[in-house]
Amino acid sequence: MSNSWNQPNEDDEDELFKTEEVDDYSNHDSILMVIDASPPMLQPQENGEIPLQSALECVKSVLLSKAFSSPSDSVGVLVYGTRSKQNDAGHDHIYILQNMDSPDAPRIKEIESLAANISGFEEEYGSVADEFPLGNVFWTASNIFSLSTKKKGSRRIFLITNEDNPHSTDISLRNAAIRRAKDLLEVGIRIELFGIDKPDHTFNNESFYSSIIESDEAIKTAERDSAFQTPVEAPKSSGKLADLLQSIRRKQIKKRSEFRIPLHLNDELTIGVVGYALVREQVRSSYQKVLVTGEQVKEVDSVVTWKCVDTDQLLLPTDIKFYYNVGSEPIVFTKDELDTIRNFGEPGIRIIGFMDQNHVQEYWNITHAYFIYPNEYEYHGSTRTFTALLRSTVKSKKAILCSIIRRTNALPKIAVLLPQEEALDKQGVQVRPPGFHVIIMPYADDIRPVPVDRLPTEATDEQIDAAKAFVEKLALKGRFDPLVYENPFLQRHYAGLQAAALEHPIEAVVDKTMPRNEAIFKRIGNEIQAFNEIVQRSSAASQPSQYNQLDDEVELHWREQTLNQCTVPILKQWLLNKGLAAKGRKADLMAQVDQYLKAHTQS
Amino acid sequence: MAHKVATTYIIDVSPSMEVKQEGVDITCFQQSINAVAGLIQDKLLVGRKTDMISIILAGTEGTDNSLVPKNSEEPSAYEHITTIQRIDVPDNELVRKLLNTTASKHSLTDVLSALILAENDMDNHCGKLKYVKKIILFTDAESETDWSDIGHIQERLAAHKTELIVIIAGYTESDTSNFSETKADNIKHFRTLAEADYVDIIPMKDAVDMLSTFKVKTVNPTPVFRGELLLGDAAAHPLESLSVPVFMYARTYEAKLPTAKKWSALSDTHAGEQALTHDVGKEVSYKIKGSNKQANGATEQGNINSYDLEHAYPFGKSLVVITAEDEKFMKIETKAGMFILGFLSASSIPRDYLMSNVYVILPRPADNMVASATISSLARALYEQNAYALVRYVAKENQQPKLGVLVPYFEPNIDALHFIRVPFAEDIRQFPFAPLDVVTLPNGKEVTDHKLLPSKELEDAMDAFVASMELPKEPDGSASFSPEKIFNPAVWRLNEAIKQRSLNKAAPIPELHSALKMQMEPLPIMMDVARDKITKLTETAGVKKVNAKEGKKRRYGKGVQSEEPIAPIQDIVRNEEESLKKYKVKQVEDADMELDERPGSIMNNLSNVREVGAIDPIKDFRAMIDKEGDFIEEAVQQMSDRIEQLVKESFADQYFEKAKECLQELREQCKKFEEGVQYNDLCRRLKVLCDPSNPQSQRLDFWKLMIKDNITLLSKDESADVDVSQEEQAQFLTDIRTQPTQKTEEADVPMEEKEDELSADNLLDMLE
Repeated sequence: MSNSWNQPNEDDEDELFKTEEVDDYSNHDSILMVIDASPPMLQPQENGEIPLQSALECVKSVLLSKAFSSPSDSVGVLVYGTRSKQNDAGHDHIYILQNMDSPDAPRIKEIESLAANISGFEEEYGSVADEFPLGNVFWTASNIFSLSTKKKGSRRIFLITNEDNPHSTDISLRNAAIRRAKDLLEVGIRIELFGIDKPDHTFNNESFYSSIIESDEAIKTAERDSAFQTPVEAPKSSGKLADLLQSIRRKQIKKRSEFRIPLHLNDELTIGVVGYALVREQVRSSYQKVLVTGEQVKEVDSVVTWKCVDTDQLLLPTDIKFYYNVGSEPIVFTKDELDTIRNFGEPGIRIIGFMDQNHVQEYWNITHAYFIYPNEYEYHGSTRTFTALLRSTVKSKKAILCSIIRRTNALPKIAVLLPQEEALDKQGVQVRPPGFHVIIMPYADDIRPVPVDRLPTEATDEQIDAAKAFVEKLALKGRFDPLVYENPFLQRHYAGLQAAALEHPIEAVVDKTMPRNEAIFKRIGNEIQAFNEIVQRSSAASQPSQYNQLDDEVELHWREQTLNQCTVPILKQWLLNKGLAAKGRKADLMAQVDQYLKAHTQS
Repeated sequence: MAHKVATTYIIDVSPSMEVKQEGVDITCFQQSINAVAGLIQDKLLVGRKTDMISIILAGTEGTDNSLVPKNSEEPSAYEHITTIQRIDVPDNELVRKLLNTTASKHSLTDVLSALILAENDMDNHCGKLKYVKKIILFTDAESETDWSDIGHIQERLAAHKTELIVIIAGYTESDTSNFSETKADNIKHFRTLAEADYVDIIPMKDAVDMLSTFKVKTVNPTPVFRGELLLGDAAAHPLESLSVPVFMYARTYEAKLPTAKKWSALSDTHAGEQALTHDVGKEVSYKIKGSNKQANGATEQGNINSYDLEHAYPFGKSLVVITAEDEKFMKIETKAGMFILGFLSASSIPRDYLMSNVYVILPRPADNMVASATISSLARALYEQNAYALVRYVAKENQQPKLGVLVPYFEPNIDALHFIRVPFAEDIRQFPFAPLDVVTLPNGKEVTDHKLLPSKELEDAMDAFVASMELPKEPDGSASFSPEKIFNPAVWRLNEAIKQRSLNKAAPIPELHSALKMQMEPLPIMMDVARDKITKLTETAGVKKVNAKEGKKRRYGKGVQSEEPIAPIQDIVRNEEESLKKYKVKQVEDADMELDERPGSIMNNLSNVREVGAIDPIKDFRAMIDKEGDFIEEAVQQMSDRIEQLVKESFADQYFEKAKECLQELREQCKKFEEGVQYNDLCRRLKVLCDPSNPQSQRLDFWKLMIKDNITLLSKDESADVDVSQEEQAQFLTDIRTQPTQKTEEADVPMEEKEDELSADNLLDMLE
C-alpha cells in the first residue's frame, strides 16, 4: 500500500495511453551569465565577502541546478573588465569563460576552482579599471547566442555587477551601450540584472540600467498585448550580496505551462486560459540504463517486442487487442474501442456554478492543484473577462465548480476554482500570483468512508483545554513557507550524484524536517506532561486494550530475556505496530525487538 | 479479509409476472430477470472468488432441485421449482442463461416452498462456516401459497442468521385496496415474516430504482501506516512527550481504470490442436543508443544482457554511473513515525498547497482509551484554535520522509485527523505572473484603464452572472454540491462496455449515461434562469476567438527569423519532429512561440495536405492520395523526391530506415494505382545512388535494407503500366551492376512464390 507513495506521477493515463511529457527542444532555456570582473567587484565587503567570488558561486549553483533538473538547457559564462581577452571579435577586456552548452562536470569544476581561488582568477585573467565600451559586452553576448546551436526557447542574460553607472562621463559610449542592449531585446534576448551594492554606495537602477529596464518593460507590455504571457516582474534586486543566490535561484527556473485550453463560462462565452502546476512533487530524475565497458559508458535503448504465444509470431501494434478477464472469460476490445471509452470530448474547462468558498472541504482532495491564468492568444478579451471573474469571486468569496479535461485523452475531472489575488512580499516580489487555483475533486468512486463507526471515547473539556495549551505554545509564526523544508531524500540523492560527478566526498545534508525535540521539550514539556496526566487519570478506569497487552507481554519477555517464548505472529504484530518492517526469521524479529527496546529505554 | 458471501435469488416465474406495471415498459418478470442479471454482472466485474450466488426459479413447468430426487414419481411440495445455479461463483454463461429464461405458462408457484429450498441449500453449503447469507425473492405475490410452514422458515432464518429481502411487484406499503384476495393474503404473511429485523419487504419499483443508481466499488480498509503519532522525544522525556499508537487509512484514493491485458489477434490464424491462449509475450532486448543493427551487423543486438547494465543518472550532458553499492550511500536512514513539528494557523496553509490524496488517522483499534482520548483532544484543540499540525511522516523505516498537515475531522462519534501532504521546497515553482490590476505602458506608466482590464460595466455584468449561477442549496442554506454525489464517468462507461460485451461480442461502446453527462455541465434550468445575465455578460465582454493564422502572425510579430534561407533537411526533420512531438502532447495547446516556426504541413488539417513533408511523409502521402481529385501522380512524384532526398542527405544511416519505410509504402500504393513506371524509375535512381558495386559506397547500407526487405521493382504482373518481367524483378536486387539487366528468354519461371522465401541472408551471401 505504502508503495503508492513512491509513484512518480499520479497522472491519470495508464501505460497504454501515456503521452510523454517531453522536456523538449522548444522548451529549451539558454542562460548567459555575464559577470563584471573589474576591480570594484574584487573589493571585499564589510563581512569579507568578495562580490566576484559570490557571483562565481552563483554561476556554479546555476550550472549545478541545470545539470540536475534540466540537462538539455545551456549555460554560458562571460566575464568582463579582465586584462586578458577571449572572444571572436577580439574586443579587449572581454573573456568568454564558457561558451553556450549543457553543463557538465568539467565545466562545473572549472568554475568551482575559480570561485575557490579568487586570487588565482586575478593572476589568470586579470582585472583592470580601464574604461572600455560596455556595448561590446552586449555585442559579444548576442554573438554567443547566435553561435549557439540551440536557437530556440528562452534566451536570457544574467548580468551581475556592482557598477550602476557605467560610462558616466562618456555620453557616446553610454548611448552605444544602451543601443546594444536594446538590440538584444529586439531579438528576444532578455537581460536580468542583479545589481550589487558597493560598501559605500547602494546600487541604483535609475543611474543607467533603468534605460534598459524601461525598454524591457515595454517589450513585456507589447508581448502581453499580443498575449504572449511572460513574467513582468519588476527587475528589483535587493542589492545585498547575501540575497544574490536566492534571487538567481528564483529566476533560473523557466516557466513551463501544462495546458492551454478554453474556459467556457457558459454556453455563450468562452475565453482562453493557460494552466501551470505551481506545486507538484519533484522526484529524482530517472536513471538510464548504460553499458559500461572499461572507461566507456554507452547509453542503451531497450527494444520491446511483442510475440504471440500461440503462433510465436511477432506482433505489430495492429495485431494486439486488449482484454479484461470478467466472469472467467476474456472480454476483448480493440485499441480504438478503449480510446472511445476514454474519450469524453475536447479539452476545456466548463463552469457548472458558484458556491461559497468555505463549503469546500479539505478532504476533497486527490492530487496537487493547477493554476490558471488568462491566455489572450486564443480569444481576444480573455484577460479582462478573466480578471472580472477573478474580482467578482474574490469579492463575493465564491468558489467555482467546473469540469475539466486537461488535454486530449485526459479523463474528465470535477474541479473547484479558487480565486487568488496577487500578493507581494516586503521587497515587492510576487509571492502569490493572481489567478485561480484548480483543485481537482475526488469522485465518489475515490472517497472511502472512515473505517470505523465510532471511537471508544471523546475528549472531555478538561482534556481539550490541556491540549489547547500546548498547541498554542508551539504555534509556528507566520505563513507556512515550504522553502524552509528541503526534501532530505532528494538532497541526499543530489549530493551523492554531485559527489560522484565531481569526484568530491559526499556533502552532508541537513534534514530540516526533523522535529526539534529539545526545543519542543523546553517550550511545551510541562504542558504535555499536564495533558498526559489528565488523559491517564480519566482513562485509568478503562480496560487495557489487547494492544497494550501485546506491548506489555513483549516488553515483559524482553526484560526477562525470554523473548523466544513469544510467537512469531506476536513479534511481527508488535513490530508492525511500531512501524517497523517485520522481516526474516524469528531470530531476526527478536533482534529487531531488542534493538528497538534498547534504543527506547535508554537515556 | 473479505467475508464470504452467499446470495440466493428466487424468481417467481408465474404467468402473472408477465404483466407490466403502470409507467414501466417491461414486464415484472423481465424487471426481475434484469435486476438479478445486473447484480450478477456487478459481482463479475469485481470478480471475488468468495462471492457466491445461486438462482432458483419458482413455478417452472419442470422440476430440478435438491429436495426432489431425480426421476421421482412421488408427489412433493417442491415440485415446479428449478435451481438453475447451485451456490457457486457466477460466470457470464449464467447471465446469458438467465436472460434467456422465459416465464411459465401455468400458475404453479409456491414461493414459500422455494424459500425453504433456498434456505436448506444455503445451510447445506455454508454449514458452520462464516458466511454473509442473503436470500432475495422476486415475486408478485399473486400465486396461491401454502403458508402452514411459515413458523418453520422463521425459525431457520433466525437460527442461521440469514437475511431475507422480499421484492414484491405492484406493492406499496400504504395502499392495499386493489389487491386480489390471494395477494392480500400473501402480503399479510410476508408482513408477518418481516416482523423479524432480518427480513425486509421492498416494492419492486423502489428496488429497481435502487439498483439503477450508480454504485461505488467498496474497498476493504487496510492501514497504510501502523505506528506512532509523536510530539517530543518519547525516549528522552517519556512524560513530557506524546506517543500515540495510531493506524492510518486512505480516505481518498483514486479509483483508476483497470489496465487491460494484451490479446493477440494473430492466434486465430493458428491451426493447432491446442486451445488458443491469445497470450502476448513480451521480449526486451537492448541496443546501444544510436547504433544501427543493420550497419553494425546483427552481432551487437542480443549480446547485451540486462544484468550487464548499470544505472546512470544524467548530470548535465554527462552520465554519472551509480552502482548498486553507491546507491546505498545516496539514501538516508529514517525512522518510521508521524512526527509533529509544530502547529500552524489553518489560514497559513493555502488550499493549493494540499498536494496529495487524503488519509485518516485513527487511534489504534480496540478499546484504546488513552489513544482515543488523545486524538480526540488534539482534533478538538486544533479545531477550536483553527490550526493544523505540521508533520514529518515516514511510513516505514528508511522510507522517504514526507511533509504533511494534520487537519481535524469530525463525524458523529468520530473525532479524527486527516493527513494531507504539503510541498517541500523542491516541489514549489515560483513562476512570476504579470499583475492583473494594472498594465504598464511602454513609457513605463502604470494604468488601470486599459482594454486588458475589465471596465466597470464588465465587472457589474460579471457580478450579476456569478450571482445568477449560484448552485442549488440544501434546505439549511449550505451548497448541495458534494463530490460524494459525483461518479467517475470513465469507470461507469468501461464497466458498462464490459457488461454489454460479455453478453454480446459485437456490442458497441455504450454512450455515456445521461445522468453522468449532466453532472459535468451546468443545469439547463440554471442557464435558463441566468439567460439574460449571460447574454449581457457576453455582449459586454466582447471576446473574440482568434483565428489561427492571425494569431500566428501576431504572436511572433517581430519576423526576425522568418527570412531564413531554406534549411537543410536535417533541420527540417528535426524541427518538424520536435514540433510534432510537442503537437502530439499538447495538440490544442499549440501556443508556444516556437511552434510558429514549424512548417505548414503539420498545422494543416490532413485533408489540405498538398505536400509530402519530411517528418511523416507516409501520412502526408496517404492523405494526398485519399484526397478528392487526382493527386496521385503528384503525390508519387513528391514521395519519390522525398525518398531520394532522404537517402542523399542522410548523415551515415540516419534516415535510411525512414526512407525504406517510405519506399515500401510507395511500392504498395504504386502497385495499387498502377503507377509502376515512376516507382521503378525511382528504384533505378536509388540503385545508382547507392552504387552497390562499390564496397566503399556510403549508401550501401540503404541498398542492404532494400535487399533485406526485398523492396524490388514492380513487375508487369503487379503494375500493368510497366514492362518488367518477374525474373528481371528478381535480379534487380541481386545484380550489383547499376545498369538494368537484359531481359532473358525464360520469363515464366514461377518466381512469385519463391520471392517471399528469399531470405536476407541468402541475398547477403550473394552480395559478398
